[in-house]
Amino acid sequence: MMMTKRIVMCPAVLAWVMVVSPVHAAEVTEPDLVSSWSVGAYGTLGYSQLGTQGAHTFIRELGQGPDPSRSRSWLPDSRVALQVGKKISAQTDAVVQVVARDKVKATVENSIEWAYVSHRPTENLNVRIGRVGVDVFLLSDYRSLGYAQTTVRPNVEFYGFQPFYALDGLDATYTHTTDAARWSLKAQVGRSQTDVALFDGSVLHLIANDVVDVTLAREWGPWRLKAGLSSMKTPDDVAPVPLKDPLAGIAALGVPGISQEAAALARGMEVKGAHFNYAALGASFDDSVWSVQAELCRITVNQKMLVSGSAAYLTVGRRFASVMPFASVSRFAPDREATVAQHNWSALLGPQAGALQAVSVRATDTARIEQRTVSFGARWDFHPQAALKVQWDRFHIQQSGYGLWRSDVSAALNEGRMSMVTASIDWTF
Amino acid sequence: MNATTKHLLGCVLALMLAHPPAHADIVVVVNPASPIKSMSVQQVSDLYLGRSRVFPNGEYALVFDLPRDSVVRERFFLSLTGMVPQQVNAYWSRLMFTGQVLPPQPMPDERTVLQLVRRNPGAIGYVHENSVDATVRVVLKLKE
Repeated sequence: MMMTKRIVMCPAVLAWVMVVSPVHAAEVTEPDLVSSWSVGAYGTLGYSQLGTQGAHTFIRELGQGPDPSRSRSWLPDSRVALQVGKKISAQTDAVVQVVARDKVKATVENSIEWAYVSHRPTENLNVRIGRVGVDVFLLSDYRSLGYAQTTVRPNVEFYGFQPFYALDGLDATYTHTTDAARWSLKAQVGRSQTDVALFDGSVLHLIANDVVDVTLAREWGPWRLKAGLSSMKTPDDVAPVPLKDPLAGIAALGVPGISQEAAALARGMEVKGAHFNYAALGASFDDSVWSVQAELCRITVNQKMLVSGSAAYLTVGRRFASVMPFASVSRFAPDREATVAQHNWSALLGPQAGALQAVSVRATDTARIEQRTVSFGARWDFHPQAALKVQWDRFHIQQSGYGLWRSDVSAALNEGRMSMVTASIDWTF
Repeated sequence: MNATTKHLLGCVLALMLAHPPAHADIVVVVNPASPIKSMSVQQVSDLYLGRSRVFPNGEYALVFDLPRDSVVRERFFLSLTGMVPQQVNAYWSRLMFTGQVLPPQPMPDERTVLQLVRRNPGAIGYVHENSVDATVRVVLKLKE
């Protein structure tokens, strides 16, 4: 509760700081033309359509909710953001960014993705305090900014499983520029929270405490290289997922085999006390003709219910004046096998127990991702501040690897292939 | 040369003066009172790509730009950084919306940039070479 109050107050305090703070006299010498305030906005209007109306619907990220009409939808990719900045002095700025995008549980509070004060004590060091963007991967802190990206959306196998956008805490960035390159070392500490949908449509409020992110980036000529490490853990008081109590009841019966299986399934649904570790390496190249981007990531977590495995993608684009055709491949490989039923619960304990077993086996694989995607498309910069994109995706999902989809509770999780076409307009001003 | 021909030539000359030829070099200018006498491509590039906010002498720089649809801006960034306009705009949107740094202030035209540079000792801008006079100091000439 205390944390919630602090978060809600943060933008209010920032607004006060932004309004009452004096402007550095030496900076604003042309009041009509040079303002200490800055206002910017960006957005995406995207429409996607799956090739078939099936039991599985597309989501762009885990924070999006189930929606049976998703075979054709504006929701996954459309978003709009407003950013207001105030230069308080030559060294100090305040920034608030509000993003409206589809979420399983959207509130005013969680739509404020940034609200921080930044200070540069020296030209090389920038410290930000407040709510800042999570920054581990190449696109982490601007994954909603479609205009800055080649494809319609960041590859879902790489960015779809990351539910945390914002971090309440602080970060510090040290930059060092040489004739050959610019180095940036960044560290973040704080707390993140978000909501994700569970297998039965209920919402899990996921909290990550003790978040520590460290990145090292090097930029030189057309190249950009970035390595990131992240560590976080969920608290011990997270509410249990809905099936834990009935499973505990079966486990307490002492039925040989079945009770052990029930206990194992219950353990597989633990979310509390989870430790996440991310390690990532990304590179991009853009020489005005060719645009190439690739990333690798390894995610380890000590709880079966949460996403773990390896992810990678490669995107290549080629500019022809204002048009850039592109192709992309991406993959997520889980580091554990799919859950399989061990015993026949129906035969010994009746059909209700059998149904519990079936839904529990399925629930433990809610976050299991095993899929790869091939995408082709084109971007057309038809205006200095807007781009039109069209993209065709072909998804190949392995059995019980539907962690990046929202599926009907009764749908079979067999190996499948799906195609999707998306058209979007990205803009900034 | 008859009167019509003279009139046409006059119009062409007036148009040339109003719109400097596309092949005119672009120059980077500062206030004459600035201690900065010259700058390298790297130093100017660092200012216009948000990698630095200060001049080589450590003074805070007030960086002025031209509108996104300006041909002069397109040629300036291409000469300075090798980046095409779509690339520059995407680059700056990334920096701005990740809170790293605000882009240079875009001014409506070269005349406004020159006015601001004349008035501000800490200002820097870029214009066509044939737009400058002794009221500003050229610190870098970009060859195309």
